Amino acid sequence: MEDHRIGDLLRELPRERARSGFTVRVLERLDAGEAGRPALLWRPVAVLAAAALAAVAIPAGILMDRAADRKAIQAAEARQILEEIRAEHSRLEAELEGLAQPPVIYLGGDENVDFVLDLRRVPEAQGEVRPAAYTDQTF
Amino acid sequence: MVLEQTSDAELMARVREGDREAFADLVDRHKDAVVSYLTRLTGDRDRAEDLGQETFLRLFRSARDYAEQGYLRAYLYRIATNLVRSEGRREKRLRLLMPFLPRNGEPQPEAATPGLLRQELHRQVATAVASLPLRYRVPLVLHEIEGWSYVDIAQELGCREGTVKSRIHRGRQHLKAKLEPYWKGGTAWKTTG
Repeated sequence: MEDHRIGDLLRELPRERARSGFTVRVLERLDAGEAGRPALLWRPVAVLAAAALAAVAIPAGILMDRAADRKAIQAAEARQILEEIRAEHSRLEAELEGLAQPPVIYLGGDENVDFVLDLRRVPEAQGEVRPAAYTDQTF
Repeated sequence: MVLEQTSDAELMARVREGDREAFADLVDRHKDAVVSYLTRLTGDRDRAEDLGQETFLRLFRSARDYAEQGYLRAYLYRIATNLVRSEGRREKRLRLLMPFLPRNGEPQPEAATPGLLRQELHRQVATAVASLPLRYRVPLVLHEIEGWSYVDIAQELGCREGTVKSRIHRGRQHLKAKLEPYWKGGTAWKTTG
């Protein structure tokens, strides 16, 4: 198969369209998120993100030459890292919000089902409780 | 009379002030592009829809930090790409738990009919694209499907143009290898008349 045929096959893929009601659902999720969204951790994490950005950008700035294209590349890399930090922050924040919910542990799942362990239904353990060691045999 | 469309930059400036109507306009304007891009990256229409919504939510939340560069769609694609990357990490963790989860049974392949052949071709190509490593998938989709130049992709991904070309080339080679059996008349495309 020729390379150009691969390109043709990719371009032949139909363009998808967002389903109707997409915008409404985004706004609903925005409302739901804003309502229950504590302002916790945002500022410290922003400071941390800025520090991480500086940690990346400053050594990069020392090492890189004065060529404008290289500066642009380094800046783009720093932006990319910052985006990843923000994404990770959002995930952690969501997990923190989850911890404020009833005491359940999320075990996993797929598109259709989530498996959770409700700690309120687990009887109190007798005696000493030890954490399980994480080894290859754990799973 | 021709009404001038409000620019993305103007809308983002209003979103920064918390203007939900401006935000809704931006979502309307870019939702198809974002969902289409995510469908190509994930190979899963439903997941693309969900990640697409999350992409816009993150745009809203990060509006204050958004630096106007004249191309909002590139910024949206970056958020979307990062979401797919994070999902990949989450899936890895989930796979550790899989032995404890009940199986739904293997999906049964649908019987192909001549009328479905093109649809099947699209499905195979989309699946093959979605299975590529992300470092090849993103530049390949941006270049071949979204029509971005090598320069723009290099700028967006923060790497050299040569790296982008090389990744796209390697992505094509991967795809070729994956699709070759079908291309040569593999059993998956045989029809029953």
